[in-house]
Amino acid sequence: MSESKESLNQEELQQRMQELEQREKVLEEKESKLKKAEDRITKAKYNLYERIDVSLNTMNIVVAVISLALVAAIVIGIIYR
Amino acid sequence: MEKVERMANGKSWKELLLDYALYIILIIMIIGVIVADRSFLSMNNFLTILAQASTRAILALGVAGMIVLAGTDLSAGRILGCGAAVSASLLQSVTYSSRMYPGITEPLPMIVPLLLSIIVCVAFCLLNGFGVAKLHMHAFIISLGTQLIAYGVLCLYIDSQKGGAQPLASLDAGYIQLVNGRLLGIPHLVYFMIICAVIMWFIWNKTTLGKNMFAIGGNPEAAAVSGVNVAKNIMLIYLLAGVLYGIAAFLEAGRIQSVTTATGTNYDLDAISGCVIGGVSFSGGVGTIPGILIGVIILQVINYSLYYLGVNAYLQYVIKGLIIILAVAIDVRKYIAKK
Repeated sequence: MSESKESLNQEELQQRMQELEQREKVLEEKESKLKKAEDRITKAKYNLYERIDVSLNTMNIVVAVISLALVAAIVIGIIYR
Repeated sequence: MEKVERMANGKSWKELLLDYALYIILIIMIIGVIVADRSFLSMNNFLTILAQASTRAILALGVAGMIVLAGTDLSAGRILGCGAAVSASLLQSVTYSSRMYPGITEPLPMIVPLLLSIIVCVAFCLLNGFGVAKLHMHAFIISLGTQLIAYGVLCLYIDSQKGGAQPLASLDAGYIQLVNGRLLGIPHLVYFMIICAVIMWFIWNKTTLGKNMFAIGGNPEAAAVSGVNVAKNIMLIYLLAGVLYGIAAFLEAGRIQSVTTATGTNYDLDAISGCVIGGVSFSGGVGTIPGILIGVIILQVINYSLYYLGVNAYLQYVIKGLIIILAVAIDVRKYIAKK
């Protein structure tokens, strides 16, 4: 009786091992599909500012210059009204 | 030394100065105006500024949706002009002998011109939306074309009057009172702006449409893969913008009380500027309703301040242009800093 129980348990175990392997295969397939989709999304991502290939330092200078131009325009507008 | 110079949020003084350069300059300018003339601070002035900003704010609420979608709308002003012309032509005083529709002998219910204004504006906006959603044209291009079409339609409509192209004026007293009246000392226009803002806040933050709008603006491909119907949502956003333009047009016609072919000129630039100043990012997916309102009000305060300071009208264009460029430059700088 105990031998038959043991063989049943072993069979069960083998079955479960097979099921587990199948699930892992399916999971691997899904992961690779997801990765391909992710790559597509990442590469296809369109963003207006992505195209701007400028360093932070340069942008700091740009912002500073425009700010000064704005202040100058306001001051000139007030002086020569 | 560097640690001491950093603020609690990790940013240095230099970074803060650059991030908020626009607001700092504007605050200094406003302080300058107040110092030059203390009457600028009066409640009456403030309410006048708010009333003037109200119709532009409603327009900006519509334009903002497109900017969040990483697009823009250059036709907003002209579309508003068309809506305003329709509203004004149907609400001219019945005692005015040169009115556009002499057959209208009784004042129409306000809802009729309002709905017609909305329908006209929605039609133009859906044209834009179709171009963007279905034909995948850039919003800049399609709205540029629509802007010219709307201007042509506006001119043709105003020119179709019996006496030729004359301003649509002498509006019904009830209409003027509805738009320009005050309740508890506050202009009706401000109440209309607040109602529209509350509704839009709800749509943007508490509905699926709002969430989809931000998703599409942030990354249209990811939104599509996540199951969002991108084309349908874009069309809905444009439809919503059309409704807002129609409302703004109806109110603006009543506010200015004289609609011409020049009505709506540069309104879109003011709306876009207000959105940009208020933090709506041109890269898409970013924007808040309070930010838009604040941006529009700040812009109106700038207009008023420059006028108060007596700055040359042509130089005002230069200053407003620099403000827009600075707002976008700061936005780009923040994006690069985050990367």
